[in-house]
Amino acid sequence: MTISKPAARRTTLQETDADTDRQLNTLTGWRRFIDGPPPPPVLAPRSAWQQMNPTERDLYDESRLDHHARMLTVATSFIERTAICGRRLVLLNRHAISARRGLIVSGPAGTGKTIAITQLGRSQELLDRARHPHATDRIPVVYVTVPPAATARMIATEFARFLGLPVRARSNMTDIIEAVVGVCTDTRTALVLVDELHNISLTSRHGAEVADTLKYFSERLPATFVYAGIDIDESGLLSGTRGAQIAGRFTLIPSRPFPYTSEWKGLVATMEATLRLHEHRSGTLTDLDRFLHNHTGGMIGSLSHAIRGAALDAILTGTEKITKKSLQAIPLDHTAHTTASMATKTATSR
Amino acid sequence: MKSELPPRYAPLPIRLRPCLGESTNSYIRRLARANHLQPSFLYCYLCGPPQWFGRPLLEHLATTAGHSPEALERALADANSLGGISRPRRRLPRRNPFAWRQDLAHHIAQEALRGTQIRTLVKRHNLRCWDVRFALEVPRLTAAETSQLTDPITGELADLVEGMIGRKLNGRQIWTELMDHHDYLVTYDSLRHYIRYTRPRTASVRAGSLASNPVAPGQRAAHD
Repeated sequence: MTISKPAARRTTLQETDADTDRQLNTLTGWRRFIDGPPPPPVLAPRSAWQQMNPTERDLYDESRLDHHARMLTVATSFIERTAICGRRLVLLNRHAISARRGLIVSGPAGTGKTIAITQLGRSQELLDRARHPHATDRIPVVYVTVPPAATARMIATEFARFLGLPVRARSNMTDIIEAVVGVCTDTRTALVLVDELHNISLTSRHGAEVADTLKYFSERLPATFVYAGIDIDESGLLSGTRGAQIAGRFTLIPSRPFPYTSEWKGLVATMEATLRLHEHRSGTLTDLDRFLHNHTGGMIGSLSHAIRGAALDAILTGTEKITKKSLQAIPLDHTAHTTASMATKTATSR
Repeated sequence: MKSELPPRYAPLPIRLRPCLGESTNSYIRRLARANHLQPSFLYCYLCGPPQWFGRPLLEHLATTAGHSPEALERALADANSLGGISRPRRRLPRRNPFAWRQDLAHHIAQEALRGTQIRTLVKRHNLRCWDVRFALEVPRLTAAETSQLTDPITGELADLVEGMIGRKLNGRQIWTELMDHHDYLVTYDSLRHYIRYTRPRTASVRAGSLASNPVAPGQRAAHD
């Protein structure tokens, strides 16, 4: 059977679209995220693994590489707190006609803010799907990110882009806002997640306009707004007249690096349980939990990066296990390095 | 803005099914209103650059509406006249089995719409299976809202257009206003043709008839 040219071209285009629509800030990408990752590959018995021919081995390794390349979500206490607080606010705002309350998740980079708000969005969307199993015309959650040097029009365009509404260069901002508000109201949007809020600066005119546009959206849309960004409480976004209004209506949930507690140990153990490596002895990482805390500065993002990076190296080099040496070989982000070296200095001075 | 890049088409958030036999113009208008967009804006967006006022491309419409091009081709009465990549023609029999029995084809389609199975229709009307399929596949006008593909610019519509011309609106502005604020189905081509050719000809005929039958000033005053 041969595929006609137009059909073949369409298939290629659809595949390209499927690749580009993986971002969370498009409706297609968001729905893909809600559907969840594929199930993890099953670790083959050692004898079967050793008898695999090169093609089978390549395919098997590829599936394991793909598994370790995915960001794993662990239900930490911070994620649970954000989800519970967000759910409570959605319920409180259900009958509110104005002055709806919102949530701000603020903290240093790499502490899991985006994960926390997206998990809140996911739980809200799954709840809505469970309540309306046959409704296909509902968009209960909207996720947008604030672009750098954002203007009010850029924010309105981000909302339109998430929904898939067309925007042309000459499109009027009022028309964009009306279309966004109309569609969100018709599709019963209950939660709006705005990420990277630190890109707004209230000291500039454009920044103030962006804040006003978000405020306008929050008044027009019958939804709960959740903001996330780096150190919002210290950036001046909550000061001044505009900031005071936000501060008066939004609950702040601070995110911070994990202290070395039983939760950290549990986090390391959970991550170790997801590894699909043949020579790895269970408990190796749990024994290294103190080292991992010092090495990553308690940042969950850095911990995930170090473990997943070492797992990928283990498959590619054929060692099939993670050791302290292999973890040290993974270069981490600057923040983790700085935090780790500060912690080491403090420990030495004591 | 000639330098504008072609847009990247994405499915609209609110999807609508096309009615069988509906015109593209009517479908785009319904789709736009459901998504809180101006119909003229969506129409131009589907045409894409450089011919923003040309014919929408079937592939663009299919992506935006969230249906396959084949489904739209089957449902929309004028889908074959849409732009886009060259598509193979639909395979239809050379001889129309309902050439002399249009009412029977219509009757079969109505029964199928009520949920009667093809097998039952075959037995009931003593036809072959593919005859029944043919009757169901041929697009036809089914509802009052899809009764016409375009409106001729005569009568009330012509008066409306004349009023807009009197307000010094150009062709594009008139088409946009008709598309967004009135329920007339007018293509940009037909409107341009009316402004360029039909209207001057009608005006010259009217002027000629006035010259041959001059109206007395007193009569006109009495009529006014």
